[in-house]
Amino acid sequence: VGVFLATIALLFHDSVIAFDAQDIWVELTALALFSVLYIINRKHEYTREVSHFLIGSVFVLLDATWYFNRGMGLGVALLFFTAVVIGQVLIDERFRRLFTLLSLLNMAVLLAIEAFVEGFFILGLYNTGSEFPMLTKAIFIFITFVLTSWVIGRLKQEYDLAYQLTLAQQKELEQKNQEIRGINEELEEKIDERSREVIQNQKRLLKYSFFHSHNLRGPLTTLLTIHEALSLQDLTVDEMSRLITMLEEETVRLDKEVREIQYALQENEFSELYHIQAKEQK
Amino acid sequence: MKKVALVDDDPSFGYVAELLFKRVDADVELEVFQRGTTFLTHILNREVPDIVFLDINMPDLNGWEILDQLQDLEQPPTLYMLSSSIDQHDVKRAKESDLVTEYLSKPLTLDLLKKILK
Repeated sequence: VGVFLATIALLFHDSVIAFDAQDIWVELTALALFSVLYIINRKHEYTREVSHFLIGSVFVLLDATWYFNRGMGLGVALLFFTAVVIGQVLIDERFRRLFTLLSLLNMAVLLAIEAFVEGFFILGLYNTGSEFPMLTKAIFIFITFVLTSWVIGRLKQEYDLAYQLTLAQQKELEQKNQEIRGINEELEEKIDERSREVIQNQKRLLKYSFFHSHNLRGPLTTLLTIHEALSLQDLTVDEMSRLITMLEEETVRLDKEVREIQYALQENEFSELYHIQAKEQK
Repeated sequence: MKKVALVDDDPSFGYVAELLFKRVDADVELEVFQRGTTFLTHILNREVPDIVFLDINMPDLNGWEILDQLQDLEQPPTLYMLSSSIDQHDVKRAKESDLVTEYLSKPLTLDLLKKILK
Protein backbone atom coordinates (compact mmCIF):
# COMPACT_ATOMS: atom_id res chain seq x y z
CA VAL A 1 0.00 0.00 0.00
CA GLY A 2 2.85 2.31 0.98
CA VAL A 3 4.69 1.75 -2.30
CA PHE A 4 1.51 2.17 -4.30
CA LEU A 5 0.53 5.42 -2.66
CA ALA A 6 4.07 6.78 -2.71
CA THR A 7 4.31 6.02 -6.42
CA ILE A 8 1.03 7.80 -7.04
CA ALA A 9 2.25 10.73 -4.95
CA LEU A 10 5.44 10.86 -7.00
CA LEU A 11 3.48 10.74 -10.23
CA PHE A 12 1.38 13.59 -9.00
CA HIS A 13 4.50 15.42 -7.93
CA ASP A 14 6.19 15.09 -11.27
CA SER A 15 3.27 15.94 -13.48
CA VAL A 16 0.61 17.72 -11.56
CA ILE A 17 1.45 18.59 -8.01
CA ALA A 18 4.22 20.93 -7.07
CA PHE A 19 4.59 20.02 -3.45
CA ASP A 20 7.49 18.78 -1.34
CA ALA A 21 8.71 15.48 -2.64
CA GLN A 22 11.42 14.89 -0.07
CA ASP A 23 9.26 12.90 2.37
CA ILE A 24 8.17 10.60 -0.33
CA TRP A 25 11.71 9.99 -1.46
CA VAL A 26 12.80 9.22 2.04
CA GLU A 27 9.92 6.86 2.51
CA LEU A 28 10.47 5.08 -0.74
CA THR A 29 14.19 4.68 -0.06
CA ALA A 30 13.55 3.29 3.39
CA LEU A 31 10.89 1.00 2.12
CA ALA A 32 13.16 -0.32 -0.60
CA LEU A 33 16.05 -0.84 1.84
CA PHE A 34 13.91 -2.69 4.32
CA SER A 35 12.25 -4.78 1.71
CA VAL A 36 15.71 -5.92 0.65
CA LEU A 37 16.71 -6.47 4.27
CA TYR A 38 13.56 -8.43 4.91
CA ILE A 39 13.96 -10.56 1.80
CA ILE A 40 17.57 -11.35 2.73
CA ASN A 41 16.75 -12.22 6.30
CA ARG A 42 13.39 -13.87 5.98
CA LYS A 43 14.73 -17.40 6.30
CA HIS A 44 16.17 -16.93 9.76
CA GLU A 45 13.77 -16.59 12.57
CA TYR A 46 15.69 -14.12 14.68
CA THR A 47 16.93 -11.91 11.87
CA ARG A 48 13.43 -11.92 10.42
CA GLU A 49 12.16 -10.72 13.74
CA VAL A 50 14.73 -7.96 13.72
CA SER A 51 13.85 -6.95 10.17
CA HIS A 52 10.24 -6.88 11.06
CA PHE A 53 11.08 -4.72 13.99
CA LEU A 54 13.18 -2.37 11.86
CA ILE A 55 10.55 -1.98 9.17
CA GLY A 56 7.93 -1.16 11.76
CA SER A 57 10.26 1.24 13.47
CA VAL A 58 11.24 3.08 10.33
CA PHE A 59 7.66 3.62 9.33
CA VAL A 60 7.00 5.12 12.68
CA LEU A 61 10.09 7.28 12.27
CA LEU A 62 8.86 8.41 8.88
CA ASP A 63 5.52 9.26 10.41
CA ALA A 64 7.44 11.34 12.88
CA THR A 65 9.44 13.00 10.14
CA TRP A 66 6.24 13.81 8.33
CA TYR A 67 4.82 15.52 11.37
CA PHE A 68 8.13 17.23 11.98
CA ASN A 69 8.26 18.60 8.44
CA ARG A 70 4.75 19.90 8.77
CA GLY A 71 5.92 22.07 11.65
CA MET A 72 4.60 19.87 14.38
CA GLY A 73 7.92 19.93 16.14
CA LEU A 74 10.76 17.78 17.29
CA GLY A 75 8.72 16.72 20.32
CA VAL A 76 6.34 14.68 18.23
CA ALA A 77 9.23 13.01 16.42
CA LEU A 78 10.91 12.12 19.69
CA LEU A 79 7.60 10.88 21.03
CA PHE A 80 7.33 8.53 18.11
CA PHE A 81 10.92 7.47 18.47
CA THR A 82 10.42 6.65 22.16
CA ALA A 83 7.19 4.88 21.38
CA VAL A 84 9.01 2.73 18.86
CA VAL A 85 11.80 1.79 21.22
CA ILE A 86 9.50 1.06 24.14
CA GLY A 87 7.04 -0.73 21.93
CA GLN A 88 9.63 -2.89 20.26
CA VAL A 89 11.52 -3.81 23.38
CA LEU A 90 8.70 -4.38 25.82
CA ILE A 91 5.90 -5.89 23.86
CA ASP A 92 6.03 -9.40 22.57
CA GLU A 93 6.18 -10.73 19.08
CA ARG A 94 2.47 -10.66 18.28
CA PHE A 95 2.10 -7.00 19.25
CA ARG A 96 5.29 -6.13 17.42
CA ARG A 97 3.71 -7.37 14.21
CA LEU A 98 0.55 -5.41 14.93
CA PHE A 99 2.66 -2.39 15.68
CA THR A 100 4.39 -2.71 12.33
CA LEU A 101 1.09 -3.09 10.58
CA LEU A 102 -0.37 -0.04 12.28
CA SER A 103 2.69 2.02 11.43
CA LEU A 104 2.41 0.90 7.85
CA LEU A 105 -1.26 1.85 7.71
CA ASN A 106 -0.53 5.16 9.32
CA MET A 107 2.16 5.84 6.73
CA ALA A 108 -0.25 4.93 3.97
CA VAL A 109 -2.85 7.32 5.35
CA LEU A 110 -0.28 10.08 5.64
CA LEU A 111 0.86 9.46 2.09
CA ALA A 112 -2.72 9.58 0.96
CA ILE A 113 -3.18 12.89 2.69
CA GLU A 114 0.04 14.10 1.14
CA ALA A 115 -1.00 12.99 -2.30
CA PHE A 116 -4.68 13.70 -2.41
CA VAL A 117 -5.45 16.42 0.06
CA GLU A 118 -2.46 18.59 0.69
CA GLY A 119 -1.17 18.08 -2.84
CA PHE A 120 -4.30 19.46 -4.40
CA PHE A 121 -4.61 22.39 -2.08
CA ILE A 122 -1.05 23.67 -2.38
CA LEU A 123 -0.87 22.96 -6.07
CA GLY A 124 1.53 25.41 -7.73
CA LEU A 125 1.70 27.63 -4.71
CA TYR A 126 4.62 26.28 -2.76
CA ASN A 127 8.07 24.71 -3.24
CA THR A 128 10.93 24.62 -0.69
CA GLY A 129 13.49 24.06 -3.41
CA SER A 130 16.00 22.42 -1.14
CA GLU A 131 15.37 18.69 -1.20
CA PHE A 132 18.90 17.56 -0.65
CA PRO A 133 19.57 18.68 2.98
CA MET A 134 16.24 17.28 4.04
CA LEU A 135 16.97 13.95 2.39
CA THR A 136 20.45 13.82 3.96
CA LYS A 137 18.98 14.56 7.30
CA ALA A 138 16.35 11.90 6.86
CA ILE A 139 18.92 9.30 5.82
CA PHE A 140 21.15 10.21 8.75
CA ILE A 141 18.27 9.81 11.17
CA PHE A 142 17.32 6.63 9.45
CA ILE A 143 20.80 5.12 9.77
CA THR A 144 21.09 6.15 13.39
CA PHE A 145 17.73 4.68 14.06
CA VAL A 146 18.49 1.48 12.23
CA LEU A 147 21.65 1.02 14.24
CA THR A 148 19.94 1.79 17.51
CA SER A 149 17.07 -0.48 16.66
CA TRP A 150 19.42 -3.21 15.59
CA VAL A 151 21.39 -3.02 18.82
CA ILE A 152 18.22 -2.98 20.89
CA GLY A 153 16.74 -5.81 18.87
CA ARG A 154 19.93 -7.76 19.24
CA LEU A 155 20.01 -7.20 22.99
CA LYS A 156 16.39 -8.17 23.28
CA GLN A 157 17.05 -11.26 21.25
CA GLU A 158 19.94 -12.29 23.46
CA TYR A 159 17.95 -11.55 26.54
CA ASP A 160 15.06 -13.64 25.24
CA LEU A 161 17.43 -16.45 24.41
CA ALA A 162 19.06 -16.30 27.83
CA TYR A 163 15.66 -16.12 29.46
CA GLN A 164 14.44 -19.09 27.50
CA LEU A 165 17.60 -20.98 28.37
CA THR A 166 17.11 -20.15 32.03
CA LEU A 167 13.51 -21.27 31.76
CA ALA A 168 14.59 -24.48 30.10
CA GLN A 169 17.24 -25.06 32.73
CA GLN A 170 14.79 -24.32 35.48
CA LYS A 171 12.36 -26.76 33.95
CA GLU A 172 15.07 -29.37 33.66
CA LEU A 173 16.14 -28.76 37.23
CA GLU A 174 12.56 -29.10 38.38
CA GLN A 175 12.24 -32.31 36.43
CA LYS A 176 15.44 -33.69 37.90
CA ASN A 177 14.30 -32.70 41.37
CA GLN A 178 11.08 -34.51 40.82
CA GLU A 179 12.97 -37.54 39.59
CA ILE A 180 15.17 -37.47 42.66
CA ARG A 181 12.14 -37.08 44.88
CA GLY A 182 10.57 -40.03 43.13
CA ILE A 183 13.70 -42.12 43.58
CA ASN A 184 13.90 -41.10 47.23
CA GLU A 185 10.31 -42.03 47.84
CA GLU A 186 10.86 -45.34 46.12
CA LEU A 187 13.95 -45.97 48.22
CA GLU A 188 12.16 -45.05 51.41
CA GLU A 189 9.35 -47.38 50.49
CA LYS A 190 11.83 -50.15 49.81
CA ILE A 191 13.61 -49.52 53.08
CA ASP A 192 10.30 -49.54 54.92
CA GLU A 193 9.34 -52.74 53.23
CA ARG A 194 12.67 -54.37 54.05
CA SER A 195 12.44 -53.13 57.63
CA ARG A 196 8.98 -54.58 57.96
CA GLU A 197 10.22 -57.86 56.51
CA VAL A 198 13.21 -57.94 58.81
CA ILE A 199 11.11 -57.13 61.85
CA GLN A 200 8.55 -59.72 60.90
CA ASN A 201 11.25 -62.32 60.29
CA GLN A 202 12.85 -61.43 63.57
CA LYS A 203 9.54 -61.80 65.33
CA ARG A 204 8.94 -65.13 63.67
CA LEU A 205 12.45 -66.27 64.50
CA LEU A 206 11.97 -65.24 68.11
CA LYS A 207 8.68 -67.04 68.27
CA TYR A 208 10.27 -70.01 66.63
CA SER A 209 13.32 -70.16 68.91
CA PHE A 210 11.02 -69.65 71.88
CA PHE A 211 8.87 -72.57 70.79
CA HIS A 212 11.89 -74.79 70.26
CA SER A 213 13.60 -73.88 73.49
CA HIS A 214 10.42 -75.20 75.09
CA ASN A 215 10.63 -78.36 73.04
CA LEU A 216 14.31 -78.78 73.83
CA ARG A 217 13.84 -78.39 77.51
CA GLY A 218 11.24 -81.22 77.57
CA PRO A 219 13.64 -84.13 76.92
CA LEU A 220 16.50 -82.29 78.57
CA THR A 221 14.74 -81.97 81.94
CA THR A 222 13.57 -85.58 81.71
CA LEU A 223 17.20 -86.59 81.14
CA LEU A 224 18.25 -84.60 84.19
CA THR A 225 15.49 -86.24 86.24
CA ILE A 226 16.64 -89.68 85.01
CA HIS A 227 20.12 -88.75 86.12
CA GLU A 228 18.71 -87.86 89.52
CA ALA A 229 17.00 -91.26 89.73
CA LEU A 230 20.15 -93.10 88.62
CA SER A 231 21.93 -91.74 91.66
CA LEU A 232 19.47 -93.51 93.96
CA GLN A 233 21.18 -96.21 96.02
CA ASP A 234 18.50 -98.89 96.15
CA LEU A 235 17.53 -99.30 92.50
CA THR A 236 16.56 -102.79 91.37
CA VAL A 237 18.09 -104.26 88.25
CA ASP A 238 14.80 -103.85 86.40
CA GLU A 239 14.49 -100.22 87.42
CA MET A 240 18.10 -99.59 86.46
CA SER A 241 17.74 -101.19 83.03
CA ARG A 242 14.49 -99.30 82.36
CA LEU A 243 16.15 -96.04 83.32
CA ILE A 244 19.02 -96.77 80.94
CA THR A 245 16.59 -97.52 78.11
CA MET A 246 14.80 -94.27 78.86
CA LEU A 247 18.09 -92.46 78.90
CA GLU A 248 18.67 -93.59 75.35
CA GLU A 249 15.10 -92.76 74.29
CA GLU A 250 15.25 -89.27 75.71
CA THR A 251 18.67 -88.66 74.19
CA VAL A 252 17.28 -89.66 70.80
CA ARG A 253 14.30 -87.36 71.40
CA LEU A 254 16.62 -84.51 72.20
CA ASP A 255 18.69 -85.19 69.12
CA LYS A 256 15.49 -85.20 67.04
CA GLU A 257 14.51 -81.78 68.36
CA VAL A 258 17.93 -80.38 67.55
CA ARG A 259 17.79 -81.84 64.07
CA GLU A 260 14.35 -80.36 63.53
CA ILE A 261 15.57 -76.92 64.46
CA GLN A 262 18.54 -77.25 62.14
CA TYR A 263 16.29 -78.48 59.34
CA ALA A 264 13.79 -75.69 59.85
CA LEU A 265 16.48 -73.05 59.79
CA GLN A 266 18.02 -74.38 56.61
CA GLU A 267 14.97 -75.34 54.59
CA ASN A 268 11.96 -73.51 55.87
CA GLU A 269 10.89 -69.89 56.05
CA PHE A 270 14.07 -68.87 57.85
CA SER A 271 16.40 -70.14 55.19
CA GLU A 272 16.92 -66.58 53.94
CA LEU A 273 17.87 -65.32 57.36
CA TYR A 274 20.02 -68.36 57.93
CA HIS A 275 21.94 -67.65 54.74
CA ILE A 276 22.32 -63.96 55.58
CA GLN A 277 23.72 -64.90 58.94
CA ALA A 278 26.02 -67.48 57.37
CA LYS A 279 27.26 -64.86 54.92
CA GLU A 280 27.89 -62.34 57.69
CA GLN A 281 29.84 -64.92 59.59
CA LYS A 282 32.05 -65.55 56.60
CA MET B 1 -1.97 -90.95 103.66
CA LYS B 2 -1.64 -88.07 101.24
CA LYS B 3 -2.93 -88.58 97.75
CA VAL B 4 -0.73 -87.04 95.11
CA ALA B 5 -1.48 -86.65 91.40
CA LEU B 6 1.11 -85.99 88.71
CA VAL B 7 -0.25 -84.75 85.40
CA ASP B 8 2.42 -85.07 82.69
CA ASP B 9 2.18 -86.33 79.12
CA ASP B 10 5.78 -87.60 79.10
CA PRO B 11 5.64 -91.31 80.23
CA SER B 12 9.36 -91.39 80.93
CA PHE B 13 9.10 -88.48 83.30
CA GLY B 14 6.09 -90.10 84.94
CA TYR B 15 8.07 -93.31 85.57
CA VAL B 16 11.12 -91.50 86.95
CA ALA B 17 8.89 -89.38 89.15
CA GLU B 18 7.32 -92.56 90.58
CA LEU B 19 10.80 -93.89 91.44
CA LEU B 20 11.68 -90.68 93.22
CA PHE B 21 8.35 -90.52 95.06
CA LYS B 22 8.94 -93.99 96.50
CA ARG B 23 12.19 -92.77 98.09
CA VAL B 24 10.75 -89.75 99.82
CA ASP B 25 9.88 -91.68 102.97
CA ALA B 26 6.61 -89.90 103.28
CA ASP B 27 3.16 -91.37 103.57
CA VAL B 28 2.08 -90.59 100.02
CA GLU B 29 0.29 -92.39 97.24
CA LEU B 30 1.12 -91.20 93.71
CA GLU B 31 -1.12 -91.48 90.71
CA VAL B 32 0.25 -90.41 87.31
CA PHE B 33 -2.04 -89.03 84.61
CA GLN B 34 -0.68 -88.75 81.06
CA ARG B 35 -3.75 -86.97 79.72
CA GLY B 36 -5.34 -83.82 81.06
CA THR B 37 -8.85 -85.06 80.28
CA THR B 38 -8.37 -88.24 82.28
CA PHE B 39 -7.16 -86.23 85.23
CA LEU B 40 -10.10 -83.82 85.00
CA THR B 41 -12.60 -86.68 84.89
CA HIS B 42 -10.92 -88.18 87.92
CA ILE B 43 -10.83 -85.01 89.99
CA LEU B 44 -14.31 -83.80 89.10
CA ASN B 45 -16.12 -87.15 89.41
CA ARG B 46 -14.17 -89.23 91.89
CA GLU B 47 -11.90 -87.52 94.33
CA VAL B 48 -9.78 -84.47 94.76
CA PRO B 49 -6.16 -85.39 95.63
CA ASP B 50 -4.29 -83.55 98.38
CA ILE B 51 -1.44 -82.47 96.16
CA VAL B 52 -1.28 -81.99 92.37
CA PHE B 53 1.80 -81.54 90.19
CA LEU B 54 0.66 -80.08 86.88
CA ASP B 55 2.68 -79.88 83.66
CA ILE B 56 1.96 -77.03 81.26
CA ASN B 57 2.71 -78.17 77.70
CA MET B 58 0.48 -81.11 76.96
CA PRO B 59 -1.23 -82.12 73.71
CA ASP B 60 -4.92 -82.46 74.67
CA LEU B 61 -5.40 -79.99 77.50
CA ASN B 62 -2.58 -77.79 78.68
CA GLY B 63 -1.90 -76.97 82.32
CA TRP B 64 -3.59 -73.59 82.19
CA GLU B 65 -6.77 -75.00 80.70
CA ILE B 66 -6.89 -77.66 83.42
CA LEU B 67 -6.34 -74.94 86.01
CA ASP B 68 -9.33 -73.03 84.63
CA GLN B 69 -11.49 -76.11 85.12
CA LEU B 70 -10.41 -76.39 88.75
CA GLN B 71 -11.49 -72.86 89.69
CA ASP B 72 -14.88 -73.93 90.99
CA LEU B 73 -13.69 -76.74 93.27
CA GLU B 74 -14.92 -76.31 96.83
CA GLN B 75 -11.75 -77.77 98.30
CA PRO B 76 -9.00 -77.32 95.79
CA PRO B 77 -5.78 -79.34 96.14
CA THR B 78 -2.37 -77.91 96.96
CA LEU B 79 -1.23 -77.28 93.44
CA TYR B 80 2.26 -77.06 91.98
CA MET B 81 3.03 -76.26 88.39
CA LEU B 82 5.82 -78.62 87.34
CA SER B 83 7.06 -77.81 83.88
CA SER B 84 10.19 -77.77 81.76
CA SER B 85 9.27 -74.23 80.75
CA ILE B 86 11.45 -71.43 82.06
CA ASP B 87 9.34 -68.82 80.31
CA GLN B 88 8.77 -65.82 82.54
CA HIS B 89 5.20 -65.52 81.26
CA ASP B 90 4.44 -68.96 82.70
CA VAL B 91 6.10 -68.09 86.01
CA LYS B 92 4.16 -64.85 86.23
CA ARG B 93 0.89 -66.51 85.34
CA ALA B 94 1.44 -69.15 88.02
CA LYS B 95 2.12 -66.46 90.61
CA GLU B 96 -1.05 -64.61 89.66
CA SER B 97 -3.21 -67.70 90.06
CA ASP B 98 -4.80 -68.27 93.48
CA LEU B 99 -4.78 -72.03 92.99
CA VAL B 100 -1.05 -72.39 92.35
CA THR B 101 1.11 -72.73 95.45
CA GLU B 102 4.40 -72.58 93.61
CA TYR B 103 5.90 -72.75 90.19
CA LEU B 104 8.46 -75.57 89.97
CA SER B 105 10.81 -75.79 87.07
CA LYS B 106 12.00 -79.26 85.99
CA PRO B 107 14.17 -81.29 86.55
CA LEU B 108 12.58 -82.95 89.56
CA THR B 109 14.98 -83.81 92.39
CA LEU B 110 14.62 -85.93 95.44
CA ASP B 111 15.50 -82.99 97.69
CA LEU B 112 12.79 -80.89 96.16
CA LEU B 113 10.23 -83.63 96.60
CA LYS B 114 11.22 -84.17 100.22
CA LYS B 115 10.94 -80.50 100.91
CA ILE B 116 7.45 -80.34 99.47
CA LEU B 117 6.01 -83.57 100.81
CA LYS B 118 7.31 -83.55 104.37
